[in-house]
Amino acid sequence: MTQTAPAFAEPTDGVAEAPRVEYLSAAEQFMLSQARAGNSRALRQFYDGHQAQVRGHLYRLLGPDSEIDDLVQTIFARAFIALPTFKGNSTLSTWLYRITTNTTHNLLRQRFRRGRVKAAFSWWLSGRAAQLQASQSDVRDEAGRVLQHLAPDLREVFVFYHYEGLTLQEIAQILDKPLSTIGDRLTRARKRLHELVTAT
Amino acid sequence: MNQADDNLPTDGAARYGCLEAHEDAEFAVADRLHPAALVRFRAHLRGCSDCRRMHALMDAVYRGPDPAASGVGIIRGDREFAAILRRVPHERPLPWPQRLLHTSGVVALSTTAAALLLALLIKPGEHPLEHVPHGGVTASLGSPSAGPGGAAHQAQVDYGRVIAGRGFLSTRGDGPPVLTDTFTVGTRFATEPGQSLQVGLLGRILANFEAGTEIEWTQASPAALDLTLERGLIAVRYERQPDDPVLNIHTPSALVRVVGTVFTVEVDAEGHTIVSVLRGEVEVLNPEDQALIGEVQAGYRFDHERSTYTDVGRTEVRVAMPLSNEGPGHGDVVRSADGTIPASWVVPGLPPAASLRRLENILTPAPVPEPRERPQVARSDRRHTSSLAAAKADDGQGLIDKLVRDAAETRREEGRAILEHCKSLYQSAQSRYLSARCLTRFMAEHGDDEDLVEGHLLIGILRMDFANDYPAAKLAFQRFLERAPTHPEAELARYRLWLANIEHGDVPGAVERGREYLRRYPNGKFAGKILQRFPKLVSEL
Repeated sequence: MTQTAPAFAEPTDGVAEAPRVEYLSAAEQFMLSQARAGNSRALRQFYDGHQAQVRGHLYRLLGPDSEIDDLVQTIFARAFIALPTFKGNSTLSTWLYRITTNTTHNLLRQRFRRGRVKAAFSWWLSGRAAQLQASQSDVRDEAGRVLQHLAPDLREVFVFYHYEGLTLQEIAQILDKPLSTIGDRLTRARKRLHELVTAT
Repeated sequence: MNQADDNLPTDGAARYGCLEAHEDAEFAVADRLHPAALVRFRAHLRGCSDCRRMHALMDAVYRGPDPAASGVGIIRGDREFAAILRRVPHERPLPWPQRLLHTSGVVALSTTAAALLLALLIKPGEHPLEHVPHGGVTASLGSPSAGPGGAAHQAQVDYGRVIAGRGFLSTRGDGPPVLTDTFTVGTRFATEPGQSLQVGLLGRILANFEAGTEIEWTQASPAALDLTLERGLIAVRYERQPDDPVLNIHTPSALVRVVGTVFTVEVDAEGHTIVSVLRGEVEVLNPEDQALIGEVQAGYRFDHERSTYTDVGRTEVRVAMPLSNEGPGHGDVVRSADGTIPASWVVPGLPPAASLRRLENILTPAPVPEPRERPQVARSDRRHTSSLAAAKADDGQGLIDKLVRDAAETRREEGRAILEHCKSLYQSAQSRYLSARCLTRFMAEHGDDEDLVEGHLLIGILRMDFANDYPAAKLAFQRFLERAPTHPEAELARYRLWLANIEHGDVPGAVERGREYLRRYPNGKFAGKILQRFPKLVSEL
């Protein structure tokens, strides 16, 4: 991960380095410079340009969830605060994915821990019910439930790779992990999903 | 066994069971299965319901959920963006001394005093976003270039116009009165009983101040426009584009945040705020911490003091009616108000039929202004008598010419009468919005008459002031100037053409029109207004 500045870092005396140009278009650089100065129109432009990405990713990661709107607000608030620390070592969307992951990771872990027993029971029930009815929407719901049984670390990698279409290198950059770790997690995620699906 | 199965090795097909199907499922979903194996896989699915269901589930897992609702509309987006800005101060990480205090806890009680001292001594670094107010509704940092739909030039943002009606305008702090129809930020408006005042801001906001209203325009920037309503009742129509400023109306007890709608705000005698929405949605915020107090949807009247919602009433609709620019019309027909409550306004109890959407059909009792009757042109008996007399005297070509002349004169008189009627509608602030329809009909019937070309000018002014339809207004002004370049009102038309350009956001066009005006009328009565917004044009004098 080359983007080393943490998402919640303090601004460096209010004066940030100019972002590197290779990942940013001229329009993005201009927008970024305005947004860093606190220009609300530029901040709005940033929000408009990326809110669908963030919201979509959260939906894919968490499924239909009442907290998605709240998380979107938190993520953008943190992104606005962290804008002065963005050095331009990645694209804006990659940087935003990282903030999204940082924000949601703990939530995912908490939910996974707390809901393990409950989920296992409901999983058994839904598995029984699935024997009786398997319409298209049921299959989609069941797929969502299957995904929720994946450990957070594995789920993040699976969602990034299969749903967001990111490369392993990009995922490694977002999660700040070695490439081999990402590859290993993806393999484990697939294997675990295969077990879950075939067990139903 | 079907045709496909016949092409496979018999021994392989015989060995292909559920175990093999499970192993191949992931490859099949990812489209990475060998074609021959895919045939065997599909053949197995046809005969095995469990594997078929497993495959459907695997396919759904790899396809993922469809975030169909990943986008948000302009209103919801505005609300969410404002909430994000409100959240920024809360999400800010604590300065490291405070963080240290939080994490050390009881472990380092002995060092607490020192850490506290350190925390007090070290001042947290100032952040640019500190200046973004809660809610972001009044954020106006930097001077960004305007995007599409945004305010293009400060000359457009900082100035407003009186469109109709009467009221007292003065500069901030009970300063000198404003004597022209153009005003700037900091202007206070007061309407006495029996008066009402309609003003335009930014070229997109049309506001109607009812009698007994006191209000001040306190701030304008490409991000936000702020009005402070001290008492009275106002109606506002704001056709907001995505990059346009947010309109904030401050009252003694609330902040009404508008993202594009038709609504009224009232501060009653006790200083309570009442917000009614006819189209769109507004948010009512706490003026101190910008916390959301209530969202008012179209068709509702929100009483801030009592926190109650009721249906909008006749009074609110009546106050908003002069802002109406909608009427029955289809296709290319220019729509203009005819006194019908627009279909887009939500007024509970009113049926959708246009003929029934009238003010008098709203149940709330309220005084309604008497509708004006269209004047009938009384034919002159004398002219008839004289025509008959001429007919008796001459039954040849002279008679025909005389009848043609009389018919033309009668038609012209009819035209003048209709024009006068339209002008009388135009004169009153309460009925001016109805004159657009009257004039449109008039121009359709008499538009080719050189003597009645003034209608183009009036239509242009109305399209500009009430419909914010600047292209149509410019076209009307140009038609007027083409047909009557030496008309006494040509100067007004040229000024209006300049004004339409600037309010439409076409600053280069406005500069060009302003230059043209100053060249023609160096001592014209509007020259000062043009120079006020574009001082550089003084070189044209």
